Amino acid sequence: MNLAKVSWKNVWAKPWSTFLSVILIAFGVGLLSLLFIFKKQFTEQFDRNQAGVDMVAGAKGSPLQLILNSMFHVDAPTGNIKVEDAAFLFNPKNPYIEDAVPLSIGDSYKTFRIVGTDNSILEFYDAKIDQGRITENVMEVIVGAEVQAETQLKIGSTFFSSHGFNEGDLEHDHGAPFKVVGILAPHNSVMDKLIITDYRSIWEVHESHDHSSDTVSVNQNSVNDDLDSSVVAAVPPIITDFPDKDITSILVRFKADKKRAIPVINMPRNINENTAIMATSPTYQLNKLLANLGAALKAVSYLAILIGLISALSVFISLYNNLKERKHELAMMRVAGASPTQLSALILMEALYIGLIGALLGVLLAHGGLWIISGLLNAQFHYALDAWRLNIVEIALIVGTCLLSLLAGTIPAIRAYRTNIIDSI
Amino acid sequence: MLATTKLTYKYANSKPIFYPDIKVEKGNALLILGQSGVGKSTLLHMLGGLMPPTAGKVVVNDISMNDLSPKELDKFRGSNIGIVFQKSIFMQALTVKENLQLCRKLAGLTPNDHRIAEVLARLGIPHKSNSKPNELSQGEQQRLSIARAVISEPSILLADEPSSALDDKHCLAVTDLLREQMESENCALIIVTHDQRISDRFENQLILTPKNKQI
Repeated sequence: MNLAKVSWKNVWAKPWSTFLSVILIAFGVGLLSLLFIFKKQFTEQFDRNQAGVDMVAGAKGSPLQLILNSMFHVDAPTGNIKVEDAAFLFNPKNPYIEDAVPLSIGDSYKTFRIVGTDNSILEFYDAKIDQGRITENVMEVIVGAEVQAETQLKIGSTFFSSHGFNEGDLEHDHGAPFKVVGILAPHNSVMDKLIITDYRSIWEVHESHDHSSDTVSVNQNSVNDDLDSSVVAAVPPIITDFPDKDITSILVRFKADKKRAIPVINMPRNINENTAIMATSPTYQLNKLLANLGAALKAVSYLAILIGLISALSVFISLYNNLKERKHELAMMRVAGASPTQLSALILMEALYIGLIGALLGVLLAHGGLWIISGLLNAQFHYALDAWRLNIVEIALIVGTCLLSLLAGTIPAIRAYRTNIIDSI
Repeated sequence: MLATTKLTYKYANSKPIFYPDIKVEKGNALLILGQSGVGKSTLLHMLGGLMPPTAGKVVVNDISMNDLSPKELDKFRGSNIGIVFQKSIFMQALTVKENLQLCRKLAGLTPNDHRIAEVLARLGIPHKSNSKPNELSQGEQQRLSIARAVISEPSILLADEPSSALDDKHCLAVTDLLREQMESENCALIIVTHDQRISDRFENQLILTPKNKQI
């Protein structure tokens, strides 16, 4: 029966008062911890899926929606654009553009999005084929690792796509089905959640009921000037063969040595002002999003800190009140040989226990909450968060809470130290 | 054994109290009688090492408690002196057994559950070992107080008004109980009381009178 045990038993001798303090601490810590992990994992997801995309071009509308839809494959697709309106981006003679990948988005299979593109997207994301091969013909698809795991599609499997992203959406059940020819190795990015096919497949599926395009074709001027007819042979077939077809967006990567060039920096604005399409920088949009999110998270974190301080106060009040009732017990411990230091240690340990239990419970709550959020995100967008990964900041949060609790226990501990045996017996 | 020499205590704004020298050997009992206000409790607190005297010495087992540092005194008190107070106070969060375990721990003694069982049996409450103190009756609580006082194998057993709140029958039972403990532990027993009913049970008596305050 050492002091640590006595302290532990004392903590539970007043279960309701302890419970109140523990719950308050748990809420404060849980909220802070949840905010922190969420923000961190959110940022990580963004970083992981940025894949060196420097610019995204698509229909005029919300730039953020364009980014979310084209790079992260959440949110509804923006409107379509005509290939010829974006032809200048595919021009191999463009001195600033390293690479441009067309995307056609809008169909899905069992809620996994089908992206009409070309095989260069694999190189863009540095994704590797695990089984099978890349697509060579129309209506062939490569599926991401997560898609394969959840849909059980195999090499040679065929399926019809749905129009839209939800289960039960109208199925494109006429014409040829899609055929799986390749499966991607797990990539830990959005590539795991996609079904990749040739852009022509999407047109083929939609041939029968093509949507009226909401994009207006205008003459490309300044940006398009350097399109030289003598290099038409090197130009990708999408612009030579299908100028009047629709795509959703284009992912653009600039040449490494030109990223800071003035024309590159001005390119999105230039495109927005002078062409029928819209272009935007994902870095800019995401930073803006994170800044907005950050402001909201900050407001909640202030609330969490306030709860934390109130919980410290509750620890203080509960210890202080208990002390009054336990004056005689403490004096009796002195009679039995306890030193004043041992009495304060007893009280401080009680504070520490309450802080530690509260903090651990809080972290557990945060991860439980994250697990639920992750489930919802996964069901809706196929984005999962790593709910049970412990972060170093949480350790710091636990240590910090224990220190705050000890601080709250200081005055009661000093009073315990000063217990007057004669007056208290 | 316990011996005092020229013990004096002076409260602020009051005349000093001079106490006669006391000497009690192991296995002997001393009854200190006196009306309220003659400094009985003050004497008990000094004998118990809870309060230093203004002048004079308390020597227990050849060690003068005045010469000990506060920390040494705490340990010395824990392991050499057992005190039965008028009020029964225990750690409410702990069971009877745990209370006794804690006392041995605080006195710096090794855990000894066998000894705890033996003392509880001797005091007639072995079945209360795992009860919480507040589940005990008044009488059982007083027995537990005695158990706690002797659990650390003290050489001096002090009792402060052990019988004053009890009826005649229980009053004598408690004094018998204390005497039994004194004999089985072979320690010195000092009872401080104003209760005249137990006076004929003890041959060694010291009567404190208000005249100790004068001079």
